[in-house]
Amino acid sequence: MSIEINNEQGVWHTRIEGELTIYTTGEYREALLEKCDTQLGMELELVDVTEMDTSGLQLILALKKQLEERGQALSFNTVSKAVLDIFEMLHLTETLGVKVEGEAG
Amino acid sequence: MNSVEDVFNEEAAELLVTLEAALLELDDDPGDTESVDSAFRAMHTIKGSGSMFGFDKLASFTHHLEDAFDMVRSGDLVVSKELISIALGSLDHIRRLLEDKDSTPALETEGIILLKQLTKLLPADETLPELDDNETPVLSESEKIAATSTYRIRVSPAVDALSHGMDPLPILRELAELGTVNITTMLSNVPKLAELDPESCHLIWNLILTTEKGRNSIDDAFIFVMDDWSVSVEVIEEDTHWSDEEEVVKPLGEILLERGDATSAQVEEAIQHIEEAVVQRKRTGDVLIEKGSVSREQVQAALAEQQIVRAQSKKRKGKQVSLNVKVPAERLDTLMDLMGELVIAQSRLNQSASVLMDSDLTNVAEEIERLSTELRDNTLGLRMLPIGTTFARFRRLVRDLSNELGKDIELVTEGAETELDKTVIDSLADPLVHLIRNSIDHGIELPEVREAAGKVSKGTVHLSATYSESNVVIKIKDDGAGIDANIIRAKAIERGVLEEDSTLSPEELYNLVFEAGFTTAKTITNVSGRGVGMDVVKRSIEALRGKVWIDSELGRGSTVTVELPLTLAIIDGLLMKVNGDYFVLPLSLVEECIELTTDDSEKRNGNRLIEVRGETVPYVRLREWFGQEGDVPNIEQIVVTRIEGTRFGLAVDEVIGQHQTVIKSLGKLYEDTKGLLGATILGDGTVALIMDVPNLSNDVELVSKTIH
Repeated sequence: MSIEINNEQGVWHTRIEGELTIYTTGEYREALLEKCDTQLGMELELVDVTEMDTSGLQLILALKKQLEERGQALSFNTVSKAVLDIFEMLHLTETLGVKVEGEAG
Repeated sequence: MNSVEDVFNEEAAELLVTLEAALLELDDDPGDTESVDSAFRAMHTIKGSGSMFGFDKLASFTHHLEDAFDMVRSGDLVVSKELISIALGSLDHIRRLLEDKDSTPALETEGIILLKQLTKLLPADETLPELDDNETPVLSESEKIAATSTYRIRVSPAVDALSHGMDPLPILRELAELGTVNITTMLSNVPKLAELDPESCHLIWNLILTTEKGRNSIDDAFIFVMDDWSVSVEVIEEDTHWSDEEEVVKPLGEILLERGDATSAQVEEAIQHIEEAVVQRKRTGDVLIEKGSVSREQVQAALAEQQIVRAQSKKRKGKQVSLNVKVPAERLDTLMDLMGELVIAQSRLNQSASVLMDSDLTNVAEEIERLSTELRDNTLGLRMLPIGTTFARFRRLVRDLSNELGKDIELVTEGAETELDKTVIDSLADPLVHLIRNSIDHGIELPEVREAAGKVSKGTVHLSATYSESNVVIKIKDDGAGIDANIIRAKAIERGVLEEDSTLSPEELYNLVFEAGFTTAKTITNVSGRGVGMDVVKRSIEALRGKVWIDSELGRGSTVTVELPLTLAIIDGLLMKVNGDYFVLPLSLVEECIELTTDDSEKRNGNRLIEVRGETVPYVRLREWFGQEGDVPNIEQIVVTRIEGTRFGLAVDEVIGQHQTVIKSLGKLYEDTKGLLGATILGDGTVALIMDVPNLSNDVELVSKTIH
């Protein structure tokens, strides 16, 4: 379980590993909120997220809202199957701009 | 006598039709696995329900046939012409068994012979297993028709759901596994990150779920959260609600209303703005979003629902056959009769309303007029059947006949979905059989002859049905030898149908084949050529208020065209008055109306003639024809009709106008009265006679000839 946020070429590259659930969202929210004040956009790397629940999903949606309000973008790099399954079931891939590769690993 | 038996008979008859169609399909395309399956299923079900109802002979016979087709399915047996022939023979045998359940020795022998033939075709190591008479076949899972419904589910979890450990996602997944689901996530309540309490749930979901599992399994998914969450489940589309009309898809505004996303005032307003929106190519949904009445997600969810319902009812249409309700034909006839009376009563109401000048009454009358028109159209629609039901029968006919005659013939059908009134279809089958037989027997040549004439050895009979205005046109076209007009002419003179010096166009000559006692076949075959038939065909088609004619090109083939009205129950007519009596003419025959002043009327040869734009048209005065007395008005009207290219006029006192009419029969006593099709009752209760103009003009001609 970890979150790692680095400034890579003017974008906040955020990498989350392990669970993205109600047990971690409180902590991640603080970390993410800190970066929202800057003028940079954010890119999520969720390939190593093993589990996501409603709280985790809501965190991503709220983050998107926060960023967009300031005219910044939230984009997705690679997404793990656990996360993609949820996005697809809830018809969110399009809204979130998640690319669905031919074969997600 | 026994209702169970009736049900079985009816079901078996339908299955046999399916089986026949599948077998014929296989005859054309032996590799068609779908047809193998459908043939097998039909046999299986016949066997199954046969033994269930105690028709053991039938079940045991069908069982052998089914086994053979099971081998075809597994690839152990190849579909061959012989197999199909035996299967078709067996099918006929099953039909006979159905008709005569206490089978006679002859029937039994027939069955044994067929089974022997069948066994010969089977691979050497495969013999048909002995049938255990006590075996009760069970319907397979796939034969049960599952009823699917579509639900609209709105899941709005309690705010504290997450902290209580009730995650909505597994529940949604459980629902998704029940069937086909479309989930829309409503994001509008999600705050931005700064205001987010990660332990509260702000998401709402809308699901459109199509499932056959039933309402209970949906409720089961919510069993632990039922009390705290707000969950609504509504059925929006289900099996029992399919309709024969175009699928009913609710407009977006209505769906939004139903979902409670928009108020009716908002939708009303949006619809008022639609006019300008149409110009800007916008939709209801966009207008509502722009006005801030609903969110984009709400519109998307509603749109998804609309699409799913549309797709679902389309799918259902494909299944309709198995979901139809069977209604005895006489109930439809009764309904039609009542409908006719309603139409008549309604026009009386209209008349009274206009006389009384009461605005309330007029309103009601108009409303009833609208409703009864709709009801009438729907009732008529109930009686419409696709003509394809008879087409299927012809494929068998063509196959059997071409085998018998040693000809190679393919039947191509087109427009099987064209719908016609049930009565018309019923009475049309025999004439069509006759026409197709004629094409096969007289038209299509033997393969050698065709090759010698430089044609492909395989002949084609093309059977098509299309709509043309308020008629259905059926064409039977063959690429055979065609008709030699000279032979017809010679024959006609020989038979005394035609005088030697008469000049007739080739078209007129061809149509002489419809005269009684006329055949041109040089040899009389089993199939046709005995000179009975074509005149009967013509008569039966005319009895349906239809027309039939033939066109041909020597060496290239012939085309028989049958034109029939869509329905027999109602005609568009022209209402006329003669000496206080009312008459109706089928409007389709009327060309124009002209005035006839007393000076114009002059009598020639007992016939009356009038000049209509340079052409002399004979006419008859209905007043004289019906022997009516009374005052002749100074100006009479002549209604000019056109029948098969010739014009014919009817002089009447007054032309009242167009009138849609429910045809009532004249009853047994007057049924055969020439020149009358039937009668109708007008709004005020008066009876009007419906004229049969073609018949009338023939009679008039005859009478004038005798006078001559």
